[in-house]
Amino acid sequence: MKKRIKNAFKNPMLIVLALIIIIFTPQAIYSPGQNRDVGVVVGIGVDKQDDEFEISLLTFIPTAQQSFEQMNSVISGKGDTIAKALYNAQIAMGRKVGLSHAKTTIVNQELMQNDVAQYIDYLSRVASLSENTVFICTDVSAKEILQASISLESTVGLQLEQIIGYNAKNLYVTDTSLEAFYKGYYSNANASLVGFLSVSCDGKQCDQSTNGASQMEGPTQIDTAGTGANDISSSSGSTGASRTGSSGSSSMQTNSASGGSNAGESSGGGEGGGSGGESKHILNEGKAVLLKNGKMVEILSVDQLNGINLLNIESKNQIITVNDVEYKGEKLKYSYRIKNKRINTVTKFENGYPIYTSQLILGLELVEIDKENQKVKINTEFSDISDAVKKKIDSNLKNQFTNAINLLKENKADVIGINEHFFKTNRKEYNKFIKEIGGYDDFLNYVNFKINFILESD
Amino acid sequence: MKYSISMRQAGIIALFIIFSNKILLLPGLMHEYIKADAVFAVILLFALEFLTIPIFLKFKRNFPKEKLYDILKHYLTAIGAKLIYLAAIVFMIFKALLTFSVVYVYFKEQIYQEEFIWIALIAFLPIMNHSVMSGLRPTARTMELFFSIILTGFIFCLVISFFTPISTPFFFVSSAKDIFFSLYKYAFTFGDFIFLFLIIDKIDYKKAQEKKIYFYVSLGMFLVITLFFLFYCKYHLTSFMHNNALADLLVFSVQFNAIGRLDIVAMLTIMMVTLFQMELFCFGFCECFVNIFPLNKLYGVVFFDIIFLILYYIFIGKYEIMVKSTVTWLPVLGLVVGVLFPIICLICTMIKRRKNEKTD
Repeated sequence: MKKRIKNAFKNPMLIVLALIIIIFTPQAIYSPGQNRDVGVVVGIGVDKQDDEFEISLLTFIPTAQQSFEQMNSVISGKGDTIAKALYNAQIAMGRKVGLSHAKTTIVNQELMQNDVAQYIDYLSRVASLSENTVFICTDVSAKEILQASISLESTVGLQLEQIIGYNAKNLYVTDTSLEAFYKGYYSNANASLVGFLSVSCDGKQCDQSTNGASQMEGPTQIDTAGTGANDISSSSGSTGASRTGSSGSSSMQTNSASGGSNAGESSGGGEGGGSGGESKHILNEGKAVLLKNGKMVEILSVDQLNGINLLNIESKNQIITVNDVEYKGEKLKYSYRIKNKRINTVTKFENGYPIYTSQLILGLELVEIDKENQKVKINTEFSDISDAVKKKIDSNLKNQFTNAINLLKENKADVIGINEHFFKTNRKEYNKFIKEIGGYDDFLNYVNFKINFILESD
Repeated sequence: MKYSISMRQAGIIALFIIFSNKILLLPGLMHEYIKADAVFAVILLFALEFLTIPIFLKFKRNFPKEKLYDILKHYLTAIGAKLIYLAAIVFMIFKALLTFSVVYVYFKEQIYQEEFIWIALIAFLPIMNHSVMSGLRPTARTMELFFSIILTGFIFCLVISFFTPISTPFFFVSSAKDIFFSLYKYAFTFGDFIFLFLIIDKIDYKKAQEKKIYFYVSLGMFLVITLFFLFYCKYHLTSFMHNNALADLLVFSVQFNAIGRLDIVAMLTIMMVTLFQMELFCFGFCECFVNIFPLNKLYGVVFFDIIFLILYYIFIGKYEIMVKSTVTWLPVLGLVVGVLFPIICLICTMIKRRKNEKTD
């Protein structure tokens, strides 16, 4: 036996292996879990007040418990730079910040008045913020959204990225991740589209402007030396009652601060917000923010988004309403859904000017007839689209498209990829034209759009 | 025979050395300079590199048992042979440094660690050293064993990208001059087939199995080109921001992000590929070392470790300097090793053939 061991240890690799086991096994056993050192951040918010930044971190704290509920809390730090604010948030959290799991990044619209890329540069380049994080803009403070999201998740099981994910799939019909933002930012058009969420107080617009981060400090506050104070507001988020409703296009509201204990107070930031226990809800109206060179130039409504996406083959299910349709002497309101879409596009240069010709074949489904609809049944009689209805829908869609294009022209923000289309199909003429007009920004203004709608009942 | 490797094993080694430095940083780095046209540059560089394979096989046919050093010594004198080996030794150590640096930075990001260099070195160096000391055959057999696993991981990363929106990138946006200049600029990341020449006496050559080498080399090149293409299809304008191509293909997907750390597949694949590459570079270094200096392989391994650590900490130290070096002065070395050396071998083969013909 002794001989065998002696022989075995003649092999230097075995000695190395034994040493590694001897040194690292006790170390691995006795070293604390990584979650003690690293805080898993699932959402990050960036606010700016005066010259100070506030970084809010929606952190997930793994805790042993019998339910499947996850413990989330919002921790924030302030500083005169993003790096400093994140550093202070890190101190407040007592852990290193791990941003790789941050699925949502919320930026206050104040920040979007300037090139937002410079603010998120540190986060994505140095702090390892994942590029597939969903990028959201808000007109209230990012921290407030994060706080409201805690109970949104615990009460109805919805996460922020899921709400924006729905918008991205059905309304924006484009990816709204940080990567998509950068793609637009570095494109010739320098334009991108990001999601937009707001907060409402009991279904109304919140009273006071909540851009200031100091207005929403949670019940627990830790001041750290250096610039700015960091506050910690933690919540189980389970006590808030939930309610979903609809206002306008689509509204997702979740009560976030109505419960007792410090949990409810801090999650929505309601009491901290100084509005006397007013509960705050995340408000999703399907809006999106149009960015040009990283700066916010317009907040787009659902109608404007639908107009922009008319040329997008992926964009379906849009509802078109036609008023005053005459049927047996009655004036009815018809609602159609775009069930399928085919697009034939030809781009060319005529007399040196770009022409964008597109034929949109829309398969429409009649989904609702308003006006004493109890008496009217949807049957084959209605499924055929009459010429009068076609004319109205055509005019409706053309108006919608013209408005959308005018908006993009006005802001020089080609988010629908007209530049790319011409570059792909008529590269030589396109490059020549771009040289003539002196840049990509004005290209959209010179394009003649010839859009033809063919409406079919489906 | 005991220390020789089969043609299949030689092919697998060729495939692993094709992957070196090309699957993580290179696609992003090349995009910064010539955008998606980097795909053409890579195809051209591979086409040049592929020509090395028939040269190598001819060389092997004409010098079936001889060691490379002896052949070079015979045709170029001892000094000439030593100079070539010196170039190869520098090439190997810098390749190992570059591979390690790129992978180290990748893992640092992945596991949230600021510095874990000692852990990384403890994980890499002993295995690498042991592998070199054990000889080429056990190393090649280990590679053969893990080959299918690595291939599955690699293909998995590529296939996942089809589940997210991809579109053809814009090609021909760079000038022909830029594309051709990039062939020089990124020459150092190619030219790895010198390793096959260094181990030429250890390959159990069978003419009928030549196609195996061609198969594995073509497979490796095809996979790398596919990686480049899919990477640019996915990231388009932002490719320059992504430093870990193979992993980023897998990670950037909104759907798959929900699964959590699916990137473990990429991490394991990269880890295994890197380990084997480091073993090969270390082996190549030692092979040159024992021929230049009158010392044995053990000294070679120790010297490799010392030089590696010194260069990493004192001379290179910074990852950025290392990467910058690959496009400033190291391309010259890449050209010597990747172009000049195969030409020398071709000339040696032709002289030998002519001699044989005269003798016949």
